[in-house]
Amino acid sequence: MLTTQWVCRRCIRELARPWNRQFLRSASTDATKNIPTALLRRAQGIAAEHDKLAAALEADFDTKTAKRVGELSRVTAALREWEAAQSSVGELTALLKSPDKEMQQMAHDELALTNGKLETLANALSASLTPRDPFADMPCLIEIRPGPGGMEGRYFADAIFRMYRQYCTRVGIPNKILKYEVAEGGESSGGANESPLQEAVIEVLEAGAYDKFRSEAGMHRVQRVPSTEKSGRTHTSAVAVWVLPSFPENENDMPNETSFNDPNSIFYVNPQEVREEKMRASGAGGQHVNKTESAIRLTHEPTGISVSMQDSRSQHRNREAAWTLLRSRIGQRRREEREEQAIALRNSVLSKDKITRADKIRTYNYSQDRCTDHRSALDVHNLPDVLEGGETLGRIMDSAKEWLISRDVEALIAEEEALAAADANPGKNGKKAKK
Amino acid sequence: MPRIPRALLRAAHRISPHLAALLPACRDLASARNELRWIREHVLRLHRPHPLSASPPSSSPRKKRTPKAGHGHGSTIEAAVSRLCRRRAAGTPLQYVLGSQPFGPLDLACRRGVLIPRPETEAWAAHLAAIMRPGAVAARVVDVCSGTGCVALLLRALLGSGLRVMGFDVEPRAVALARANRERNVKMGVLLREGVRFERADVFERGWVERLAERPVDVLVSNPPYISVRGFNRDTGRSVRNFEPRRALVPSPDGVGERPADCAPEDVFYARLLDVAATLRPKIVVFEVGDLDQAVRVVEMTTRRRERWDEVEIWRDWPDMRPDEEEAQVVQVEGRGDVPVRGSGHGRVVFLRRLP
Ligand SMILES: C[S@@+](CC[C@H](N)C(=O)[O-])C[C@H]1O[C@@H](n2cnc3c(N)ncnc32)[C@H](O)[C@@H]1O
Repeated sequence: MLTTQWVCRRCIRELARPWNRQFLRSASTDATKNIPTALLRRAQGIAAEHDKLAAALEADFDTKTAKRVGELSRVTAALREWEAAQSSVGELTALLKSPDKEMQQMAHDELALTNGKLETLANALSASLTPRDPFADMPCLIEIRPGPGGMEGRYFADAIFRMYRQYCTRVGIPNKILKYEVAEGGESSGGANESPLQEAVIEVLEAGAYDKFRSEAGMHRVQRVPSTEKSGRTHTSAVAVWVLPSFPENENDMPNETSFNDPNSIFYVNPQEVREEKMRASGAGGQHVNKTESAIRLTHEPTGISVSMQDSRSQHRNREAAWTLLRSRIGQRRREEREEQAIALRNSVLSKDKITRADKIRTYNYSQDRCTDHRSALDVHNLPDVLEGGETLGRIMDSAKEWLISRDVEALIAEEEALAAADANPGKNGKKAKK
Repeated sequence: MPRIPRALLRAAHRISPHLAALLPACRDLASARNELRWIREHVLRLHRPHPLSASPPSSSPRKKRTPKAGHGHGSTIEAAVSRLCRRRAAGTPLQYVLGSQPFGPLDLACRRGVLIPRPETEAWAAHLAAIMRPGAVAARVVDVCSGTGCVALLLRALLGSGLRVMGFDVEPRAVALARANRERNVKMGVLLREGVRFERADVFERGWVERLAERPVDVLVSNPPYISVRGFNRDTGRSVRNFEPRRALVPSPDGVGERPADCAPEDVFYARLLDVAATLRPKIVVFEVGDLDQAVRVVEMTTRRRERWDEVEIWRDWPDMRPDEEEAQVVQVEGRGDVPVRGSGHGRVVFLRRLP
């Protein structure tokens, strides 16, 4: 019975494939159901640019274009998936009118499934449009410190530390403890086996870890009866969590053949931005002269970094050496800037005094066996599973991330609508009028 | 040529008498300094005790460090440096004085009778290698007028073991030097011996092309003599005129057969090479030329012959360098329309490609 149903599902899915272009178009007219029109328009614009550039790239490869295509492909892929699902819905809807009862039923079931999928895809599409955090692809550091107040905060800091470690272990993310400092004279607090933590730093070594954990930054509040508390009174204390991008000295960040040609590397230098000066002999050149001037100077115009090279009698070798040196210097400068940015980030958004009790993002309530994320308003039970880094923690983390994204999407919609309004009323906006 | 100011000579002399000696040949202090450095490095390399020679480490290193006039290692070196500087000062090209010129990863021996490889040639050959790289695996390349073998050997070194390259030159000394250069670079470990051959041949000889046409040829490259008699007298450097072989620079009027009426004497090699290309039907043709005008004349030749090339380009001296503001990036050619001009510098190369 189950098997037959599965087989039929498949054939229905086959039927619902978007082989029919007309279907595809008519289906996207009621697109607004899932995704705000403003966003859909932006996505379609991006996909059109993507396709144009990708075609150009096939004819004539160019790293700059390749980089742009790479940037646009995230949105384009998300749009394509959403469109495919959208057209399936169209075709399944048509099948609902089928005279065949069984076919109708199956189309009905399948439609429910696809509609659910459509919503996920629409969310993914909206999210793909939001500006990507510049550090999203980086590994990260999770820093944990007790909030102001007594021993209880320190013990709970240890609980939070373990929670993230166990979470990493469970989902298989490589991590390293950079620092684990226990308060002077701290002994284990009995039952929970917690130590009075001063400060801990976990380095999460996976690319994209910063994106995964950045929504964990903030004040984590605990409400429980400390194991040292004789009277059974519930205490409230807090632990601060910082999440920072980390800049490992790994091979991707090393100056080498691969990183030189990778537009995303800090060592990538756009040749258009480099002025080259050869100590060129005046005159006809070529066979006419046999001068030995081989010196070359490169200047990276945006930064003014310049390199000159005259070691070899071969201008070609000097030029290659000069390019290598220039890339390394620019890479070095960019790395320093990036680190400064990270420090600025730490000092502004997440500075010590800014994380206060008022910024509490989550509460762990022991007596009620409950964990609440105050931003996404998600409330879960099974606190032990949360504190062991189990799937329940995963759910909370996901909800916080979704909240971050939805905030970005809202900002984006506001921006798109403002733009659309300005376009509709060009008279009111002088800047927009010149085209 | 303007004379070197006395004050500059005196300043150079104060730094080193060698420098003052080199100055007239090098024209400016910066290149004189560089040449002196290269001469010194060359001499030191020759005089360095062989790393495997059994000289006991205790043999007083201090003695070696303090050259006493007329005695020991140091004075031998100074004597050699000053001998080479004198040759250079007399106008001999540095490449003949040192006996070599680096060319990409290669080091090429240079000898009288064979043209010294030029940096412009190095630049376009490297650029060509980059263009060929995606499909180069088993390509067959013919280099006509191969001289030191620089272009053939560079393509072979940069493009991997499937490539077959044949170089041809009419000058026996060039063929011998090109073969020696192959061995030299094989020994240095920057080249594999297989896949490159050099033979004596005159491009204007009939039977040669027919023999070559027995197997398919994918790429035809040539840096033929391209200077006019007038250009030779007016535009060439003195040490080029006095020391390099005229036959490598100026097309000789003998033995070229009847020249087409509309072909300038300095363009005869291109007319012939286009005939060769018509027989061999390579996918890519690359000719070095003397300037933008000559490049345009060569492109015009292809249109007058009604040849169908899918891509026609002109490259400047540094084909992958950003052009200066005043450098046109396109030229109009009779019968072809707009022809892209790539890079920066003088017009240097005509590139023709037939797409599969
Ligand atoms: C300008 S040099 C180029 C040498 C080398 N390919 C390079 O780029 O340095 C021209 C070469 O053409 C050779 N040559 C002159 N006339 C020739 C002919 N009729 N047939 C073949 N080679 C010839 C000369 O001997 C000389 O080596």
